[in-house]
Amino acid sequence: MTGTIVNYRPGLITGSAQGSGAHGGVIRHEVPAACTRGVSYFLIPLCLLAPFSKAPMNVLFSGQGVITSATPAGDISVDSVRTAILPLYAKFGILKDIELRILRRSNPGTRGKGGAGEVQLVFGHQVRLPKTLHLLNPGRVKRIRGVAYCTGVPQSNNARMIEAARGILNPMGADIYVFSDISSAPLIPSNDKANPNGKTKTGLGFGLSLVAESSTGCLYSADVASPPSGGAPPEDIGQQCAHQLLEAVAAGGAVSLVAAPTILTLMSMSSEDVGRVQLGKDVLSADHIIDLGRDMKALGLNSWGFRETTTGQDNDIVVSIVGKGVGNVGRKIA
Amino acid sequence: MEDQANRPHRKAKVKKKHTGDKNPKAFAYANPGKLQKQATRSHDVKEKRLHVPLVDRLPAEPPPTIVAVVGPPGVGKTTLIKSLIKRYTKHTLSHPVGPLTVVTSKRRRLTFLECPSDSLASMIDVSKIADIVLLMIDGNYGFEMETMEFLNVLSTSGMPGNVFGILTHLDQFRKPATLKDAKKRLKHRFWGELYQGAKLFYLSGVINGRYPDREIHNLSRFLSVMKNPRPLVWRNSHPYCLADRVLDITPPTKLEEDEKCDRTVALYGYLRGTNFPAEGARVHVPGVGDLSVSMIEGLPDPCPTPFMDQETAKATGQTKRRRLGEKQKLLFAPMSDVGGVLVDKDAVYIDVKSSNFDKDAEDGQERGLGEQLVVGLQGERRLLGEAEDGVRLFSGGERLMEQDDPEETDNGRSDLRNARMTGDEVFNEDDDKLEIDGTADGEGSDDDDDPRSVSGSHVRPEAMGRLFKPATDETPTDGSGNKLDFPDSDSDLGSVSSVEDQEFDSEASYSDEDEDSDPETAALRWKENLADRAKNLHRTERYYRASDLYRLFYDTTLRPADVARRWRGESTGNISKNGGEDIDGQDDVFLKKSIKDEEEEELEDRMLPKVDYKALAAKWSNPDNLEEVRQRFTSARISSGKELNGGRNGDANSASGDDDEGDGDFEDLEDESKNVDVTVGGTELSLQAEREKNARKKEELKLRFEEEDKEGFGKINDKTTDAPNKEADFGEDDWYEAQKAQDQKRRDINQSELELMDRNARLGVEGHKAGTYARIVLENVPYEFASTFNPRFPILIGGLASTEDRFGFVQIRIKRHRWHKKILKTNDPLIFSLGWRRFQTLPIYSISDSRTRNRMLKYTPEHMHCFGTFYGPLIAPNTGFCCVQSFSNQNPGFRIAATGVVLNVDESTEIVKKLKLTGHPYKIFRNTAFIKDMFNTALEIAKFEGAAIKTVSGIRGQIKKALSKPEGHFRATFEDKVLMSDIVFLRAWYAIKPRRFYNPVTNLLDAPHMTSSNENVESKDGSSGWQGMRLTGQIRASLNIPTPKQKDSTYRPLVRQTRHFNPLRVPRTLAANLPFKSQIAQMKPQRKQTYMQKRAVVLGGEEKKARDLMNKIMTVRKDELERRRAKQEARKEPYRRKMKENAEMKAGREKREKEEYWRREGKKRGRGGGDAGGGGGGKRRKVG
Repeated sequence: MTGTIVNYRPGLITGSAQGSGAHGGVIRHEVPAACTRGVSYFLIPLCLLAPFSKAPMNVLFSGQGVITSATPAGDISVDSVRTAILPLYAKFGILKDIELRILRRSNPGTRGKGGAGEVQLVFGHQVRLPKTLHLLNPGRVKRIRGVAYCTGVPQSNNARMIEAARGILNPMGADIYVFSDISSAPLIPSNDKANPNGKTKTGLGFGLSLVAESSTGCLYSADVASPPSGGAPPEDIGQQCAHQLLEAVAAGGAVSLVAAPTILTLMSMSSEDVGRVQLGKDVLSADHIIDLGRDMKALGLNSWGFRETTTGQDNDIVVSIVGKGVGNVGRKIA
Repeated sequence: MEDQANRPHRKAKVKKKHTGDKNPKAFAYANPGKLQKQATRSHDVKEKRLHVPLVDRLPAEPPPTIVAVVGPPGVGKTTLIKSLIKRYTKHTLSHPVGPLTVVTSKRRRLTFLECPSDSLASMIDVSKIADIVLLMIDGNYGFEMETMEFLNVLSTSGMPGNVFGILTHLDQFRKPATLKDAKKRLKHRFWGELYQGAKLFYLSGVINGRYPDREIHNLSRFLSVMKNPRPLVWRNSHPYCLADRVLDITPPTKLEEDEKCDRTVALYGYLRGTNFPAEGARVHVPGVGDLSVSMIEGLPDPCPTPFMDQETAKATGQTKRRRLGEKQKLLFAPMSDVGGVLVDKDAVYIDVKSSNFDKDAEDGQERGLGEQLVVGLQGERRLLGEAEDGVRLFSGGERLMEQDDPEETDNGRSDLRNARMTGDEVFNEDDDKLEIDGTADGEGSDDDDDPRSVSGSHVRPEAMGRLFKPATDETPTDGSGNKLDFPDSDSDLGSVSSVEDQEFDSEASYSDEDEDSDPETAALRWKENLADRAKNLHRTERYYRASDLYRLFYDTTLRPADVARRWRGESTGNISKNGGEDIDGQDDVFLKKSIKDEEEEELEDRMLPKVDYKALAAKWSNPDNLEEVRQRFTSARISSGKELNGGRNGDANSASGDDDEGDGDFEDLEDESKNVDVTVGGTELSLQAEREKNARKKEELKLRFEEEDKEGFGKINDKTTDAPNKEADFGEDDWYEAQKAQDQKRRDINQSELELMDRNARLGVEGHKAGTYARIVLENVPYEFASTFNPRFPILIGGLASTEDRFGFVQIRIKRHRWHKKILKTNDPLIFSLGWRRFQTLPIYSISDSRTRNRMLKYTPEHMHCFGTFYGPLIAPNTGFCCVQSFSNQNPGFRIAATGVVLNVDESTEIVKKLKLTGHPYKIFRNTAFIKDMFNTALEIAKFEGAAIKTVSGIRGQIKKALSKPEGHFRATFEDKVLMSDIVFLRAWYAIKPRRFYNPVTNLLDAPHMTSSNENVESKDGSSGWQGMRLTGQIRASLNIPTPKQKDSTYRPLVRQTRHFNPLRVPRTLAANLPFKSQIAQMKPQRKQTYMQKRAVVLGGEEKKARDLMNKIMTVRKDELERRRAKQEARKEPYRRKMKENAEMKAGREKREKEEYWRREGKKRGRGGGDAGGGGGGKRRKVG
């Protein structure tokens, strides 16, 4: 109750240019230990800003709050960001120098707080104006890829998760390959008075990220990680993840619920042409998508148009968005 | 003689008969390389024709082309407009003011706009919107500054391709030869200014206040065949509008409270450029400032082309439209007095032809439009609707109507009225009278409630369906009775005609739902019942319809969850706004959440929804569900029963897919079909079964093929838009064609996609299309805009992109204009015209020091580009601009000070200026010295520790450490011993920040007051009382304050001591020890006397005398000469004085004569302008 009024006027997005918070071309962001959100919570909006920045974006997330896995708070894992979100940018003509490095993995710590992982996002493709896109053909799922990860727990967990997930997905006949990533738990200083230099392990657990790719390049992802309280057998996690993937695929549309905000936002920002994307009805009527559409309108971007698919696919709606041509003003000309 | 033998002639070549097959000469290369040259040239020509393809966003029904008539005062601009209007419409205008829109051909309209010559600000505005420029030049006088200034402004705002010169006053040449010469001279000058071969027209004289018909006819022919020019980048990326009508619609109550309150202003005009956002647009009105659009509304086109008329007729099925006559239709100029009606800002003037006006005269008598209207009103004939429908001449139909029936308790409309568009007139089946009633809303006989009610007899079911779809979803919150309290008769209710009103109202009713205390609730009740009723009618297929979604989606009174639920068509019974849950559909059993969960979730902002995995597991253990989702996998078969029609047609196995995968699929398929076989007829594999199996296989393959073949049977060509595979259709060299085709494709998609939407959604999705005639309401417009409004100055509404509303530092590349007299100084205020805006700001000029730093410049270089940085709106790089120092017409020279382009926008700047700190050594050791006088404190020194320093003689060194004792002294080391007399320099860079000064030029707010719009007198001084920030020097000069002088800044005489260097003395012992090479070779002083030294010369007697004599003679002669010269000088002096006097007189006479000549020359012009009836009398500023 100080009576202070902060007036924030958004300016330009500078990216990791020298002198604006970056050192050596890298912005270091320390996530506090009390953080319960996965790092993807920060990464996805950051990726949306990055194409419009002046300089390449290079951000290193570190600190005791970086959780790379999926979280109970509803965040997806960084693996899914890497494999299911970042490839979508290529459809808008943003494809060069985009990289998400997972330097250290971590599941949520005790009571879901903190993690001490480390993730670096390099987003080096800044465009004047993204192209819009037409995604009207969801295609069929032709392959499923995934990453099973475990930190600080036996690697057999990975095998068991994969086994369980395959048990469900194999009959679908797609081409499935799930990578296994094993890492030791990150150490953080323990707040032990008796042993001031002591370290404790944090962020133990395991999880699975699955991505289904359709013949037209549409991606559907699913993410499940072991709860911080523990007690979930890896078979359950694998099955849940597979079921979630089936659910995402069954929801229809060319874009899954997780990726829809990214796609829709970029379409609204892009060139002043109609872009179209086919969305499943349940995806479109999800709360946060509706909120997103309203926010876009409130921001002065164009509203979305809806129509049934011409091919009569029962469960899908075609969303047409006329871009606003917002583009990147900060980009310097030669 | 006879033996002379001439050399015999060379034998003639015997032509060889060619041997039959073909003449070898005919098939030899005559000119080797000629073909290649030809080919090269034709390719060059072809390539030169190409430009970078730009997306052309011109709609199918484009807005009228703006033809700007530009020229110095008195050159005949108004006369030309009058002549052209007469040519196109047979109207004679006495005072054309403001934009005049004219239909010129079947699909083409022109808007004529006279650019006021006395306002450079308006010239700049006009240059930003003109599509065609008619540049008028007085042939008798030559090019003037205004013309040159306009051309230069035009080129910075993106030169539109069509600039035509028009030479006038050619009748004032007496001799044909001089006329011809002048034409030629001006033509070449014009070509030099634009391009070789630029089109120039010649207008000879003025007949009946117009130019000769023949010449105008030629000009109009040329205008009408003009192709659409290449789009300009700025106009192609911004919406804009030239207002041709201005209306102050501030509520009178507000005006009563405070006469000078901020006004609400409605501007009318055709939208141009990109689509205008339907809501919340930010605009800049040059000369006024940044404003927000509170409402924009498309209106019926007041000046439609015959083609558009036909289209509307086709769409509505009504061939006859109520509109004004053929003669009026062609011309739309609300600011001018067309048809005897002049709409001014606060009154409507009607021109009465005769002095004795007779109301009851016969109809055959000729009456002006204004008279007709007034007579119509007086005769209580309902011609109001007519006026509204056609040329919207009456500013406020509402006003008139409000006065009509004050006894009614009606409060008029409580909500916004929508304009009637052609497409909606389909529903008009009532007679015209009713239609008029409906549109002249809120008064007359039909206004018991609103004109929104619907009577069953009139409404066709389709119309009902469309109209009341919104209402069907809504649940009446009050459980009022089921009986519909429909009014009894049509007349009670009005008509269905104003369809949009109903639509709008039904939407609006949503917002009213919450407040029961609303007085309108009662009025709404019957409507809600209506909604119920309508729902009953359309019970079938009620959910998941895309057409409903738009309205629900953007209805912010609904929570997202409710939107989803309504859309799904779930139990409409118990939806409450407060998040009450209803029974979940069977679809999402596993998504079941408690209310509490939901609340939490809202706070949580989840990406993955919470999922009940048990339910999910149950769902996916069901083989039916699995089978269904299997269709989404490539392994699925396509051809089984139900999927045959309406199944997914994703493409199974894209062409990009690798081969072995395809094989895998195929095997899979066979497996399955085998299974089928086993189940069908495992016992015997008869021929029949074999055939069936083969047929199935074939069918399957066929379907797969169709899926893969994207353009095959029944496929929509979806992927073609920006897919690179389209390029494959064009060769490598046909990149240009490929781009064009792609562009066309994109436009087709845009059009086809938008046509599928209903009007409301379409407005939201794409905004108002260019070419619409729109009414733009601006809030909080300064009072001065209304009070000083003068229709002579164009009012431009430029849409702003989102970044252009933000401010920061703009880096530009700038060059002083070579015709501008002075170079520009850093931090002097300069007016920029950048984007839509004109503003004064303080630029800092800089230059790149070998790309390492931006060094500040005090002045712009004389003939070079330099960088500039100023604080202003963030405008996209590559936008051009021009600068002026002042808009004042008093400035005799060329006013465009500089031009350039935006390079970069940023939030910070890095401009530095050189700073040299000096110090003096006061104690010198070998390579170390103590330096004083450079700093004042040890703290400063600490910041500069390690910095490089240098002496005047070039010895380099480094700052080491501050000395403890005398504050501000420090120790430094050098590469050599410095001298006490050396000065030590520290070269540093000091960062300069541009001042955050941004002052929009509000010349429309400060314009001198005009009593009436038809006053065509051009103001004396620059049309503008606006004054920007002045220079300190200017203020001092105007206030007569002497420039303060600091004592330190004055120059003092430099006293330099001559330095004395002692000769080098080497001690003898040292010299002896030097190595041989370094031995100092010193000669011994000469001992012996020389020959001459030994001998003394003594003069003898005769010689001595002679010398003495000569000396005397010379002295006498010198004296003589001196005296003679002095005498001569004295004699010449009066003559010199006289010559000087003469020269002075001559100079005076010449000056006087010159002034006299130019005065005469200027008067000549004034007279010529007076003849034409135009303005004239402006100050002439001729280009040399």
